[in-house]
Formats: sequence, structure tokens, C-alpha cells
Amino acid sequence: MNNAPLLKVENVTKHFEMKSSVIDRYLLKKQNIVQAVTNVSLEIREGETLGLIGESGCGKSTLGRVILRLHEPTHGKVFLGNEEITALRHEDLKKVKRKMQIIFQDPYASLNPRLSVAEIVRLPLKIHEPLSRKEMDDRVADMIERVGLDTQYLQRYPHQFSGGQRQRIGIARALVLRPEFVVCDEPVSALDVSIQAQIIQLMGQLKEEFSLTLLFISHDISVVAYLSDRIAVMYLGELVEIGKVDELLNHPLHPYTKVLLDAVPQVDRIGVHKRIVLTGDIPSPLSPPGGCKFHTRCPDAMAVCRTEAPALEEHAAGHSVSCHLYR
Amino acid sequence: MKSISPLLKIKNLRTYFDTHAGVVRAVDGIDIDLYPGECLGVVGESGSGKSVAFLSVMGLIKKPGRIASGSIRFEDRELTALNPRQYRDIRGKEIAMTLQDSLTALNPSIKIIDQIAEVLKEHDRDMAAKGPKAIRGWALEMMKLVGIPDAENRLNDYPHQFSGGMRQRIMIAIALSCKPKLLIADEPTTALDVTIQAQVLNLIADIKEELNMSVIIITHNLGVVSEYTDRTVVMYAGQIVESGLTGDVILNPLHPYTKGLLKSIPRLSERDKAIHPIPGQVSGLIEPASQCRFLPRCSEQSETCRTEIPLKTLSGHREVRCIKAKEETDKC
Repeated sequence: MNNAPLLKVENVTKHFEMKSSVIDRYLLKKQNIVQAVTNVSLEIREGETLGLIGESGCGKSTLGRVILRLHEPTHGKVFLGNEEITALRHEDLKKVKRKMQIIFQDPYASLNPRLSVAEIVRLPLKIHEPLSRKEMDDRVADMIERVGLDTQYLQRYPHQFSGGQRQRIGIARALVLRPEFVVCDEPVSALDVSIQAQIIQLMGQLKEEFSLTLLFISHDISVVAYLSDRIAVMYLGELVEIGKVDELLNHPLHPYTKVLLDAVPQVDRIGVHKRIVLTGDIPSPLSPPGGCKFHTRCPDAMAVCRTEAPALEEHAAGHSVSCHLYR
Repeated sequence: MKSISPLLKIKNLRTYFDTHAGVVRAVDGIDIDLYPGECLGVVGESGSGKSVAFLSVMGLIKKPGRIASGSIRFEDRELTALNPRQYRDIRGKEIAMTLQDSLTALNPSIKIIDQIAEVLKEHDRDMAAKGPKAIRGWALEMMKLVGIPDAENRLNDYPHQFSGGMRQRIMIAIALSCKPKLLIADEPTTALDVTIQAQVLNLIADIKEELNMSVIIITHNLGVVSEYTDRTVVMYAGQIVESGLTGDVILNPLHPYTKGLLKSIPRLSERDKAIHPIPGQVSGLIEPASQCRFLPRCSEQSETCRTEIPLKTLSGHREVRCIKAKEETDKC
């Protein structure tokens, strides 16, 4: 593993403005803004896999998409190598985009039902690498074999495959350009247990084979822990803790990380385990609470948490947390 | 435990679907006994027949599906012999089910309070006689019981105004409003975050104690099964392949499929251990060959597996459908 960061995210913020109705505008109502990602900074080293966990709505997918510039960030910069992705335009952006790909969660919605497998996997090549037809076909066939599908399926359409096979097609499409960096957005969440294991194993193999740098987004902590080198935890759009897998799982610092880890039902615990149960749902990102955003549900909340937002600070080597308990 | 008579006794249940391609044997001969106050986990992947089996119990199998044979006894009544009117008296009142997808299971155009009250109006004559105000009061109590914050002000909200976890709670409120003897929860937490999942499962466990209900949790999450259930049934391709006390099944699995499932999940406690996926996928359920259904994916297969394998009863209330398993323990 090389120590130079391949991907650098600097103070990225993404707000979505909700459409307001004519009446609301007439009444001069304040426009609703969803604060999906707030001031997130992180680095991913070359060859490293960073796992990103958090509840639904915490902004983890949005962050992944901002990194790929599928969403424009409201503030902040993203660097891939030495290039500032967020400052690029047109042809320059296209050149960088071929180095970054994404694998989606839903293997049903993410493949065009009207295209055959060969066409789906060939499309990125057509856009980014104008090769001869023969060369393209070879690359596609090679890729399909590497993800564990038979080349005799190339002319079939997505509906003729099972969920696990479709996810393999999605992986082939993402890797056919030999990207350096791949965002995996919940790639196994929609799959059955035994199929999920097949895909996890495949991802592990391909990561080595193509020396990929991954951002692995999932709400399943066991899966993230299995594949990642480091884990980042998000809550309501903010990064609350980041550290090496063993460090973070064995010595979680942030109360939210502790709750999250404790909530995972584990096979080796027979009988009801007395867990810390959070009260209430995740607050709305339309009007996040002031101070530390977690204080409304935090079992260890203090007076200062209601008024002052903690900053992400290094607690031990390579293990950072944003919580007043550790200041 | 065996001296008490079972609350629910499913015997040799077969639920088939007639399709153009042939007869799909979604549930192909299952036997399940459930005792009062027990929490049973039913594990299996998509296509194992776990949902269809319990939709059959609820009398909710519609054409082209049919219950081809078998008996479902609830207390002293034979459910398969009931007419639709009689079934309605039991369904929702004595046996209640929560469905997997809370957004499609709730009616989007009816207020939450009215959806909870509907069950009471239908099943509780005393309550219905007290008038709409009393019914709304009781429905509000149910919403509070399942922990919906600010329930008074949310009575008139519609399903889309609630989050996934809250909608799941509303379904549980509807299911529990007549104090059923049996609650069937079909994938109650699959669409939920782990933190919300813990809340919902703890809620079910608490209410089970309070009302002394029997609970069936249908899930593919082995962690949920091991933490929340007393007994576990593992289904594969329409059949039961293994059953027993949850601790025994999880710690000492006998069927290669159960072993495979347990080896294929990454565990937080043993992160350095590699996972071993089960190769292949569930084969079709149309005209299954008369052999072990797990055979094409099994790592321990041999020639003797090419016959219909019976479910073998072992000591300690264990059953397993595998030829190899008979050496492990003597018959009881």
C-alpha cells in the first residue's frame, strides 16, 4: 500500500434546495434546504479501502456521488491524485471521470433493460476509449469472465439474470475501464445471504487484481469491516469518527459509533442481548439540531453538546473523533 | 414443553402455484409445531418458501396459488377448512401478521388512526359498541404502546409522513390491537437501519412478554434469529432442512446448507476469518428432481444423496434433512 493519498476530500458540503411552491414564495416563506453533507474532509490512500457507514439519510451516498461529481458540491474541493476534480470542466473532467467509477446498490434499476450484457459493459469503453470493435469485444469478454460470468451470456438481457449475476454485470461495467478509484454504494445490500458472500469475495479478489482504491458505502457494518482497511462513520451529514478497522471496532470512541456497533445482531450472541437502544429516529436533515447533531439521541449528552458543535480531532494515531467527551 | 398442546400445528403443508411453465412447489411438505409463548425463527433465502408458508397460515394465498394438501390447525380449529367469513374472524384477531414492506402494506390514502381503528371495528364488538371516540382512544393507546413519539399530534397523518421504522411500528400496532395469540412478523426489520432494527425487535420481545404471545419471526438475518428466538427452522427450496433450539442450530449446525449460511456471513467478532460463500443459487421449484434439493450446491454430497431425503428426528427436538447427519446423534 502506497502512503500517498489518491483521493482527498476537503471541507465538502452539499445542500439540496427543495422546490418551494408559488404560494410559499408569495408568503416569503424560507426555502427548505436539505443539509445532506456538511464540511466533510477525508483522505483515501492508494490501494486502500475506506468503509463508510451510517444510517439511511446520513449523507453517505451523497458524499460518494459528490466525490465522483455526479452531484456538484455546494462548497469544498475533491482531489484525485494531483488534479482538483471539482475545478475541472468538459474534456478535462471526462478524462478524470474514466479513472473513477461507481457500483450501485440496486442491480435491477442500475442496468438498462433494453441493452444486452455486451452492450452494457461496452458502453464505458465506447465513451472513453475508442478502440476497434474487435478490441472492445475482447475487453468485454475478458471482463465478463473475470467477474465470474460465462461469455455465452453476452447477448442476453438483464432480466434473464438473477440479482447476484446482475450485480456481477454492474461490477464488470465499472471495472472495464480499469479505474483507479471505485465508489461501491451498498453493492451487496439487495442480495441474499449466500449470494452476498459470493459478491463480497469477488470484490475482495478484484480489488487485489486491479489494485483498486475503494470507497465502500454500506449500512451493514459486518460487511464493511470485512472488506475495509479504515472505517468512517457519518451522522446527519457529518463525519463523526474515522480510524483503522481494528482500532475503531475494538475501541470505538464516539457514542454514536458505540450504539451502531452494539445494535448489530450477532450470530454468536444467543438470547436477547441487553443493548443500548437509541430513542427516536434520526432528526430531519431539513432542520438538524444545533450544537452536536447527535445530542438529541446521545446517551452521554452534556450541557456543552447542546450549544457547541465539536470538531473532528485526532485522538490516537490515525483515529479521529468529533465529540466533546474527548476534548 | 411438549406436554402442552401446540398453538399452531402445520402438518405436511404444500402450497403450489400453477403457472404456464408448470407447477411451482413454493412450499413442499412442511411440518411446524408452535407452542404458546414461544418465539420461532424461520430462516431462508428468497425462494425458500418461508413467506408463502405463513401467508398460507393467514389464508392469504390467492390464485394462481393454492394449498394443495396438508393441514393447519390453530388451537382446535382446522384453518384450511374455514370459509372466507370464518377466516376473517380469526385473521387480525387471533393471528396477526406484519408484512415486509411497510410502505405498500399500509393504505397510502387512509389516515394512520383510521387504519388502526379499522381492525378494532372489525373484530372487537364491545369496542365497536362504545362508539368512534372510544375506538380512537384505544388506537391512540396502541400508537403509544409501540412508541410513536408525539402520537396525539400524528393521529391524522398519512403513511408517507412517517419514516420506515415508524411505519413498521404502525403495522405492529395494527397487528397487536386485538391482542392476538400469534404474531407472524415477516422480515420485520429488513428495510431498516440497525439502530431502528434493534428498537423494533426489542419492542416485539417486550410486547411478547407482556401479552404472552407466540411470535414467528421470518428473516434471512441469522443474527436476528440467534438473539431473539427460542427455536429455529431453516428452510431451503420449499422444505425444512433443519430445525431445533436456536442455540443448537447456530452453534452446532448439522445440515450443509445451515453450515454454509453460517460460514458465508462476515462476523464482527471474527473479522480475520475468511467467509466461504455457498456456490451456485437456488434451483427452480418446478418439478424438482427427487433428490436432495441442496445437492447441486452441497460440498458434502455423495451418490446416496440422489434419492428423496426424509426429515430425520434426532434427540433434543432436532430435525435435519440430510443423510450424513444420522451418524452424529442417535434417534430419540
